Amino acid sequence: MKVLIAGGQNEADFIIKMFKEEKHQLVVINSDINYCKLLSRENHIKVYSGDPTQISVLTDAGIQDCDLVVALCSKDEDNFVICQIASKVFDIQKVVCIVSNPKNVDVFHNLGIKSVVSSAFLLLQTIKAEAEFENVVKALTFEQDKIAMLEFKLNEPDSAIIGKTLAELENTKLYTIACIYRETQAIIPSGNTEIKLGDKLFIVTTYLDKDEVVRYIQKKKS
Amino acid sequence: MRGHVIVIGAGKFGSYLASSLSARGQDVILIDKDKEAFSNLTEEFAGYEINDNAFELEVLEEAEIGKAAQVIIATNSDNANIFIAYICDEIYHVPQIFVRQSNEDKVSLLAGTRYKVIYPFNLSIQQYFNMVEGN
Repeated sequence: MKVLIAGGQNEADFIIKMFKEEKHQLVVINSDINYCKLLSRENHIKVYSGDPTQISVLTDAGIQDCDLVVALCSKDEDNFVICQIASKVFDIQKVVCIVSNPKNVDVFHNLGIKSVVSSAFLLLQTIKAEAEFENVVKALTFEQDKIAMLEFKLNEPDSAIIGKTLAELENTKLYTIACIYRETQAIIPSGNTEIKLGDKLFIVTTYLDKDEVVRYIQKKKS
Repeated sequence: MRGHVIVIGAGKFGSYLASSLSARGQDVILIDKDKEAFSNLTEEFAGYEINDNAFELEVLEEAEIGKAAQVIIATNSDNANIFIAYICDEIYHVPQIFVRQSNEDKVSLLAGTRYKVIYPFNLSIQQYFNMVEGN
C-alpha cells in the first residue's frame, strides 16, 4: 500500500515507523524543514519539505497513486483541506485525519470525511465509559456511539438475574447476552443457559438503551 | 433577521466590504475572533459585530446563518476560508457563498463547488491589463 503522511510532529514519526515496519511505501510531507531532516535521517526515507495543503506540493510528492492519505497537521482547517483535495481532486478512497477541536469530529463527518480522530474525544469516551457505571468493568461503543458493548461481572449473590435462564430474562428486546465468561471458559449462551454467581456477561445493546439495561442487570432480588 | 449578509474576517477587505454594504442599507453581521480587527470598520457601518471564532457552529448560529442570503468569507487563511465555506454550504445551505483566496493553488478543488471565488491578486493583474489595453 502507498501511504501519504501530511504534516504532524510526534504522531508523524510514530506512524511512519509503524508503516515502515509493515513494509508499506511511504510519502511524507512536512512544512517544518528541520523536522523533515530529522524524519528523513531517523527513518531513512525521502521527506518532502513544503505546505501539504497545496495541490502543487501534493502533486510533486506523488499523491496521485496513493491508497491512503493521513493528515496530521495541527490546524483542523489544514487537515480538512488535505482530505478534500485527496478525495475530491485525486479520488483517493481512504482518507484519515486528526482534529484538535473535538467538536470538529461531528463537523467533519457532516462534511463527508468519515475517519476523524480527536485525542480529546477519545479520552472523553474512555473516561465516560470508565466512570459511567458501577460493576460494569468495561463499556465500549462502536459506530459513532450507536452500539454499546458492556462487560458486567456478577459478584453479588442477591442479584435478581442469578439462577435464571436467558429465556426467563425480561426486556430482552433491548439487549443480547452475546457471551458468558465462566471459570476461564467462554460460553456462547442459548435460551436455556443459566446465569450463575461469578459470571462475566458480555452484553450488546444500543447506546440509548444501555442505562436501562444496566439497571435491569443490577437489580437485586426483592 | 432574514436575508442578511454575513462577512467573516474583519481585515481590511472584510471590514470595508461590511461598511460599504451597510452604507447601502444592507443588514450586515461581521464576525472576527480578533477584537482589534473591528477597528478597520468605517463610520458607515451600522451592522452587528460578533467577536468570536467562526469555526464554531454556535457562533455561526448566533449570526442566524440559516436565514442569511449571503456569506462572504475573507479570513487571512485560505484553508480556513475553504473549511468555513463547506460548513456554510453543506450544513447551513446558505444561498450565496463568496470565498476569498490569496493563492490560486486550490482552483481545481474549488472548481467542483458552487462557491464564487475572489482572487485579489488576479484582479489586480487583470486590472493592469485592462488599463494598458484600454488605452
